[in-house]
Amino acid sequence: MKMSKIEGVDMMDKGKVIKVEKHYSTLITPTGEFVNIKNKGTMYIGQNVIFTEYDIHTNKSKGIAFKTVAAVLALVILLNAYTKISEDNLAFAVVSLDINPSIELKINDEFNVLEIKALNEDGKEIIDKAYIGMEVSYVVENLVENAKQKKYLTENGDVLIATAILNGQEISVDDISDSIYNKVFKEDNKINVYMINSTKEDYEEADKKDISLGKYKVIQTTNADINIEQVKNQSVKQLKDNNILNKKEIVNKRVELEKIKKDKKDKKDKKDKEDKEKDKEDKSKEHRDKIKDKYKEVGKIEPKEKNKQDNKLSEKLKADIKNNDKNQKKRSDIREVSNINNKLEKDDKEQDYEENKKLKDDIKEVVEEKKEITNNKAQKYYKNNKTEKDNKNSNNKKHQ
Amino acid sequence: MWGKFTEPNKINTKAINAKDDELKRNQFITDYVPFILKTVSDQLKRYVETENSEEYSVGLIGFNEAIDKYEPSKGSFLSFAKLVIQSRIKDLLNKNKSLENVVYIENYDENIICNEDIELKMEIQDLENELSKFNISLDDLVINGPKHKDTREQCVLIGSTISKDKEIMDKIYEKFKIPITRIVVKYNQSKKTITRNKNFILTTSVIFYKNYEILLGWIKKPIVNNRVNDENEQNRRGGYDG
Repeated sequence: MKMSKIEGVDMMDKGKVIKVEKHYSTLITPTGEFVNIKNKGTMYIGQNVIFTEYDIHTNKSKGIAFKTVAAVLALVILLNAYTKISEDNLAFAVVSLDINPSIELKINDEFNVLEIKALNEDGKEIIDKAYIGMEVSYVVENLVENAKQKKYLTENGDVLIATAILNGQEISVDDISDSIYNKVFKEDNKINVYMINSTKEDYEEADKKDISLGKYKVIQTTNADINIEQVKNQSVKQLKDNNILNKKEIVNKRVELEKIKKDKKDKKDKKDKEDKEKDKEDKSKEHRDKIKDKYKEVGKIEPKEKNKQDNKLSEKLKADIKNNDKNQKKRSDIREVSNINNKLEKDDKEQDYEENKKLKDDIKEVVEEKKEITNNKAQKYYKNNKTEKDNKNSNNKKHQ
Repeated sequence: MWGKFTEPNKINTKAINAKDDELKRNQFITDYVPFILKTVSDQLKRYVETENSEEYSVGLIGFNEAIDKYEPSKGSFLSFAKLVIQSRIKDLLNKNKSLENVVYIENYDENIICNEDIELKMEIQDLENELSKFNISLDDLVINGPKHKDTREQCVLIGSTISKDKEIMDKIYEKFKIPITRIVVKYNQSKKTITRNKNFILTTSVIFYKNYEILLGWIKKPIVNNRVNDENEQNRRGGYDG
């Protein structure tokens, strides 16, 4: 239907599903072609489908497939070796993110992500190769969103972020962590963020042991003997529960600073509130005194005392409400009646269903009649087609 | 593989150019419809059924939004657009979660809706039974079927003409083989096309012969289009003659 050679996806076509197999289904396209496509979701016969070239199912022989796979693998290994060397030279800093999914991001001096790596099984679920080339803070934002959707990160969850600079000293670690913190976590007070500043040596050690920079730092500061394999698959929350994370050295100073700021703010707010309340009380007292004086002058009862008399009246009202409960019983009776009515209506519907069946049978008959008519039409049509062609040919001959 | 390293810059500049130019934007979007469809169906984990479906239009809107919001600092345009479309589709799915138990009026009486499906199923079963006599499976048609559009049309035409020829059809059902030389002599067709696409021609002739209505509708389409073109040509010729 549409052929355009562009980077991304080249081809797309429509079709109707004819046959459904275990791993693929057969389509017929409007141009009369038969195509196999991969199954996606539930497929059924008669389904209309729009597909692209990536959905086409190919069933090549295993020998060829194996050879091509081997060749591609060799190429990929070569390319990887090449790119790794060049990337290590370019990588400016490392940012590690732990929720339970552990992820490692390498960035260049413009804070764009060069490499994204999952350090455990959970991490593989939330990363996407598409993040390469985007700004770190944007990527972290997306990763946190993904973790929320996959329920790794819940309310009052914990996030551990560690940064280390690998090459160059023009920008400090704080610049990176600040940019991430300000963009992603500043407005979200429900997530506890721990930020750790680290060094290149720490990263190299962590890389050897194949755990994230953040977790390595945590282990390092506890001094205790901890099984690395265990920590590798533990979430930050579990670390916190096991009292591994509670050491004060780890918690970022900035978080503490924020706490101090908050405390200050809270104190201020409290003071303001107290002052306001005091003012209010003073004003209301003055007001009351004035009113009392006025009533005394005139010689009437104050409305407050009148209220006490009214309380007796309200007890009477309560007794009336009790009587209302009896009325409710009557209402439940009415409900029963309506239920019975509903049942009767259902019976009527069943009768309608039987009538519908009869109608459907009639429709089937009509459809069969239509079939016969269309058959006749098709035959006539092809006869006409042929005669027209013959006429055309004869015309052409005449022209010649 | 190398395209991925060289092309993105072109796309990025295209996207930036499309930001303010209405015409360029429309062209850009229509060029990348297949890409949009792919990301949408990947996110949905099922195929998009028609072009008027809600998911499809949400994908288009997402792509348009991506053009509006794109800046070179956000990396390559395609991956950025992919993210935007994915998040729009997620929003849509979350929105529709509350409507999961609602049944549309169109789907209320499933029996009537499925009528065509049942007929299609019957037709395909019949066709498969018929083809098994010739030792042909549907997969053979996929692998060995004519890939080029013009040859396919020609094969369909041959199939339709054979199906009306009683002599040849009798022969076919007698030996369960296609009488190639007879067709070549009788209808002046090239031997090469018939020998190469004998399976496809056989199935089309069977479909015409047995008159499978729904399948015919799909196979006949190119011929009908052709016929319209021929008529137009004839009209033009008539005009010149007059």
